[in-house]
Amino acid sequence: MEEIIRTNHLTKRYGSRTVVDDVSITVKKGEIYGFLGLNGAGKTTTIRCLLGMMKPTSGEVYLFGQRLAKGGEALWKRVGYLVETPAAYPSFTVRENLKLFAKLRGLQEQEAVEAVMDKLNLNDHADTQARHLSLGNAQKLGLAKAMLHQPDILILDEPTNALDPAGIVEVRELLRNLAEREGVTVFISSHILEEISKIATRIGIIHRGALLQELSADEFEQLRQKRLYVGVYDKTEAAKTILINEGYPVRMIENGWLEVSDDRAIQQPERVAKLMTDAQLPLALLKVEEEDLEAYFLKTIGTKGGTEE
Amino acid sequence: MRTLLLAIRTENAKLFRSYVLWGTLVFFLFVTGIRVGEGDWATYLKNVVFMFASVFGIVGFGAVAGWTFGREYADRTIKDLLALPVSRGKIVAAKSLSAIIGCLMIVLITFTFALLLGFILGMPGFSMEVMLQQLLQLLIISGLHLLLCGPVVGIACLSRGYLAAMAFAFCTLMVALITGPTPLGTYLPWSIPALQLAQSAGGEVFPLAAASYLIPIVIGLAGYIGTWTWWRWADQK
Repeated sequence: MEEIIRTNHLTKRYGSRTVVDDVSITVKKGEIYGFLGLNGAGKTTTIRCLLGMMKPTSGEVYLFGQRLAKGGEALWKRVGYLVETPAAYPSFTVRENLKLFAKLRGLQEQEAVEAVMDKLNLNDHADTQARHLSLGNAQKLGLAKAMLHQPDILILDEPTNALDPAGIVEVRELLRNLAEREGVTVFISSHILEEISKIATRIGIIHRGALLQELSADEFEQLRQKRLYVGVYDKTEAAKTILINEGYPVRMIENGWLEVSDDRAIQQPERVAKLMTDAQLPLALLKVEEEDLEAYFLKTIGTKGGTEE
Repeated sequence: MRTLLLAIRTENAKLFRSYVLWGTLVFFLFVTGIRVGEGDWATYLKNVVFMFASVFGIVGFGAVAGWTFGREYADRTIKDLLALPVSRGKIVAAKSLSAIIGCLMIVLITFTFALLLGFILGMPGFSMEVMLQQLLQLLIISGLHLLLCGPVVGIACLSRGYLAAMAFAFCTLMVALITGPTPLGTYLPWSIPALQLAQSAGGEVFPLAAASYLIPIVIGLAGYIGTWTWWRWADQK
């Protein structure tokens, strides 16, 4: 599949402080790349390098296979972006703000503006001055500016910040549709892990400037730890013995449940249920728990990057 | 060229919506109005032009130009201008031209207002020759001040806001007032416009030495080119 975004050993230093350290990322057409990191991990600096707002100390950025060089304005026709908190001209209405950027991008103003306001459900606020917008609607206006020209790449820094739950779902569906139906490549940074886990097709974890891990949604599915929890009334020790005898590694946890981390048990919990039933040990609990992205992320930055101070 | 024109239109729309431009104009009109009873046409128009040669030019133009650039940082909209199909150089040019257009509009409206007031109040001694001479001097002085806005816009960008730019404009006004009457005045960029007016009383269009015109040109170019360089090459955090 066509490579749309690529960084090659991207490094950014301020004096002796390394903000982005040898980051190599590849994002293919139609992917939604979730860029995860704590505040100050280097996400925004990486994004600014992708957008040519900062010059890397070393390494290169390629968009659509072309090396990003100063003066390559034609590339920006195909890129939409939202960096950090959205901002707009406060005395201009939503529609006027969008028209300003439609004009700068050489678009058919009316058509492009109305279309993007429809997409982001901004019509009710079209004539509201930006200074009077709620944070969530200001965020939507920022997204509208990014999507105004129907770009091939969307680079979004924390795009769901400040959105209410309905807004988050709306934006998630919108981005998913853009990627799946129109082949738009989305590079999305966030510290809201749940959001990324729901939308990203690939995930990169950055910590203290370094890319710790890059994995696909499928790989993440396989890598994250899953456990089967078994609870029986009173006879926990007996249940433990039965499971050990059947070859399952079992550990008793604080609340008296049994934790089984064996793949066979996780894939077929009904077999464990049958073992308990056959031994006349009535089940109080049988559940498979999957590690969420948050736990996986914290574990990854803890083991590979050291715990955050 | 088309993208530059689009950028100028966009910048004009932003500037002409701003309270800074219209507030400056209202202030200029107010001060021009309160000086209307002073002597004949020649004295009055010279007073009006003198206000531009001193305070109006340095602080007024500085405020408009500094705000045109500084507001992008204050409103945090600067990042939206950095990755567009319009080059940053064209954005800087459009902003500079827009500020120049705005300031020249203020100049012409204020001068027209002064003429209207003079006619309405029946001021004595109107002469077309005097009026044209003062208008010409006003345009030359405005041109010099617009060149001197180069460092102001540069400071607005470096300081990421308009306050430092306006503070710089006020400082240059003070320096011009203090140093202008000294022999150093002819070489001090910010006192040159006032000296241009003072020494043109005899009717000479360009009464100062060539160096005195070269200095604002060099300072202005340094400011505008420096701003362009900064937009083009500096890290935009």
